[in-house]
Amino acid sequence: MAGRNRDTSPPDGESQEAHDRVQGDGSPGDVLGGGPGGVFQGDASGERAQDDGPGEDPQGGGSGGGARGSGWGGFLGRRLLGTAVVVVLVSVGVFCLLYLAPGSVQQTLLGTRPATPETVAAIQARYHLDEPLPVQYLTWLGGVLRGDLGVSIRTGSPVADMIGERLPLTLALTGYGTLLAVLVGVPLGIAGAVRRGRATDRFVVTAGVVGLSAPPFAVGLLLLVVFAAWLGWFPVYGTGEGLVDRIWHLTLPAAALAVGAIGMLVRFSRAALIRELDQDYVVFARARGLGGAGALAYALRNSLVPILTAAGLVVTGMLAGTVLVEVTFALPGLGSLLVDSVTFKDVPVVQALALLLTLLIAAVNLLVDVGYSLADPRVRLGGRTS
Amino acid sequence: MAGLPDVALTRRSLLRSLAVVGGLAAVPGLAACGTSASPAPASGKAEVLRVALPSSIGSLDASKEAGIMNYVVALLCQEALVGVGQDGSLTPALAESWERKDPKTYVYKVRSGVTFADGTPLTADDVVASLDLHAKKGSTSAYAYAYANVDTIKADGSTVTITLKEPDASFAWTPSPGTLQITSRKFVETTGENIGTPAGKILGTGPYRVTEFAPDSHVTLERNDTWWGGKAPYRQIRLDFVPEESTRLLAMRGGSVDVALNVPAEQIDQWKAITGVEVRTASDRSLVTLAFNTAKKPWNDLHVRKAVAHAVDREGIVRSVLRGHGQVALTVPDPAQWGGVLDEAQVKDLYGRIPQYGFDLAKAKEELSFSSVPNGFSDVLTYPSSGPQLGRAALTLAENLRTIGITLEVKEIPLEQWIAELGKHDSGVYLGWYFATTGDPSEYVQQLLNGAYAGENGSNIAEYANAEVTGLLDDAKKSTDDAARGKLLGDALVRAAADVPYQPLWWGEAATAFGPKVGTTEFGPYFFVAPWATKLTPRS
Repeated sequence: MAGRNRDTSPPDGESQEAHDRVQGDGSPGDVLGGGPGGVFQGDASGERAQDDGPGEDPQGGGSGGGARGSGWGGFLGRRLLGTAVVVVLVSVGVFCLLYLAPGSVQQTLLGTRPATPETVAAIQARYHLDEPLPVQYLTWLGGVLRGDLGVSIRTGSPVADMIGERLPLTLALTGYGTLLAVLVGVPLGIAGAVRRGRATDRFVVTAGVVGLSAPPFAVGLLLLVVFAAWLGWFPVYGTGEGLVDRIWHLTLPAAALAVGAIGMLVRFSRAALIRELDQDYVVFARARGLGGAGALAYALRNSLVPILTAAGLVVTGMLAGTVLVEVTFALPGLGSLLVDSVTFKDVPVVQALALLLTLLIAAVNLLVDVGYSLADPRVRLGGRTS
Repeated sequence: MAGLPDVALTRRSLLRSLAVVGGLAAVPGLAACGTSASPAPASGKAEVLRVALPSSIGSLDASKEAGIMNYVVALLCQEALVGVGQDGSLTPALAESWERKDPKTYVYKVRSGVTFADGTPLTADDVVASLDLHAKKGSTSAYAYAYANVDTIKADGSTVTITLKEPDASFAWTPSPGTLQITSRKFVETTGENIGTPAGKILGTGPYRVTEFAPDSHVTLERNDTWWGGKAPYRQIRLDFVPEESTRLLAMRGGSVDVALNVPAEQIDQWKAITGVEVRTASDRSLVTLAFNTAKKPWNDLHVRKAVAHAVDREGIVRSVLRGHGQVALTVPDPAQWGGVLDEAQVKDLYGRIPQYGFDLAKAKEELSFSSVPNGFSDVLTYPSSGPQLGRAALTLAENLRTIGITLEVKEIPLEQWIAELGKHDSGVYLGWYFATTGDPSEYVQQLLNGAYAGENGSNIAEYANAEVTGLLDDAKKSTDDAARGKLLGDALVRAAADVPYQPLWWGEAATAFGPKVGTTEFGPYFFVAPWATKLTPRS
């Protein structure tokens, strides 16, 4: 019997457990401190509590009743303000970096051909390149505040149209990749935790390390060779038309993106679950006669916060990292647009993309924070911890 | 005790989780079975041609972004006043005939009975509107340089008369597809800034018209049944942008592509190994050359330039870096570019007279010892990231130069930065990489050697200003007699080679793969400077 109990606490568990602790406490904790958790941790520090009086908070939504309502309103308000500050800083930074980057728009437009001074002057005037840098920035900012993202220098198309055409694909690819990663990574992590120290566990951990270290474009090519060229199950490239065809076309790229994410989710979920399984309440639950599945369910719910954190990181990582996979599978997403535009110094497009990615990442972090409060009742956004 | 059922349960939960994984893997499998029942979407129908291009285009309008692939797409839909024959000479296109009335006046007779893809007839006024896009004051077109010498453009009935400010024999090439695509005045006025974008597209008189343009993904063309040149063989052409070369190879192997452009030299054998695939190579009229900045120390010393020229193993580079898919460049223009000016024998004779600096490290060392820097020096050579073969060639040069005491640091930089550095003229040595827009031999001879183009933003990146050479080249511009012009250009090349402002390395070749269902009888350097898809024939 004792032997069986070691299932969750193996004899050689000490060293491994210590290792797991470092991982479990370290990585997600760091992320909580620096990333999505930062804001709500600040919220919980009492300053918010003073506003909790009914009806005092103008952002409380007028319900008059809610400590919770005012908490949410304040939380969202501050979150929006913070995001706005970040967006402005990012846009100034990107603008300056593009200005400093080597190359010049008029020469890129004209290539290695001869350029007459008149043509160079005409191009500079057309794209306001002859104006001082702050004026160029303010011209751009003024347009954005009026809802005009401008026109791409490289293609002549309105920036909003270009992004609108590509955003759905990148979102679909990221969503599909995350789904694959969660559906594979979390169960594998759970399996590893439950079978800690056994062959299954070692397999899961090894697979996680391999997944984490495999570069997405190499995985993409490998998948292409096996599943597209050799087995012929999937198309080699392209986006497909219609929902089913689209899913069929996006499966290999999403899988290539998911491989690294799976590695990350395996490590996070395994470490988190192992820590929870060692908690007193699990032992107590078992002592009460609760079955293994019930106890596992308790432990799982309590390990959701680090898993959610990892999932948030996976989504934001994929948003930023689709470019290599897009090139391999010839997909017209935001990543390839960003690369083309950065090397061209196509300022309006790069600025709009930086803006969009900042907002998307802020939104993902917000969702993760909301997820925390749903997963763990102790977490109150903008309110108290109980 | 309560822990008893743990093992069984965890095993079950493990199985459950594995089932999730298994189920996931099964879903795409099922999907694949469902779709693989229908024939491969690619080349299943013979009337659709599928083409894989190695890079995307940002604009359909080649005058906004004059890359090679922009022309490959645009010239299926748009034509110029004159075309280029397979021998590199000018042929009638939208102009039935043309004449040079005097050294400054060109008269074109616009072909009658031609309609645009939107059904409107082509008029001389449309031609003027198309020319004005590049010739009018303040034009931001990339072709503007070719029209800088234009004084007036006038339409009269069905003729268009172009008057130049100064005589220039090369202007005959300006209304060819390299620097002109004809569109309609109405289209220019209604579409304006949107020409070339996915919304505005392009309008022309060619055998195809654009129905869809998705940057970084594809362009779809439909046949224009009213084309004056006859009926094109394919109802639809789909050009996919597939940047990753391995992906293109797999696509051809899987039969989802009929034609693939720019097969990399190191992959040609793999492509040829696919059953039924034919790989054709031809000169792409490109030149890769070392350029020495004659206005900058120590490169202003002729001995230094000769030493470095002798240290380049051009045969070795063509053999190992290009795997034989290129030609050692003896001078600036590719032999294929003399069409209509010099015949083959004359070109051979001329190229035999141009002084060459062959690979000889002993001579290189000797030349360096005569120079102002007998013990060597160090400098930096940059190359664009889109040309890895340039980088490998530069590395072999750097290796050879080390043995004679010159340290050359080879650096890869983004294409855009490389272009900007070419324009600045403040490096000592460059790798120039040029693709000819026209079939005119004087194009890059003038741009690289004429002293008028020295100075910042000029095309003469060696800052080479020799009065004699410039005089010969200026005379060539004024000459209206092709034979005399050929002689002047040849003399300029021979004279300039003695000063070694450039050490030409190679003339490039491009390989195009044709899948089992497609063939072509004619293939050459000018294949893609025309509505090329009309020259393809379905094979079975």
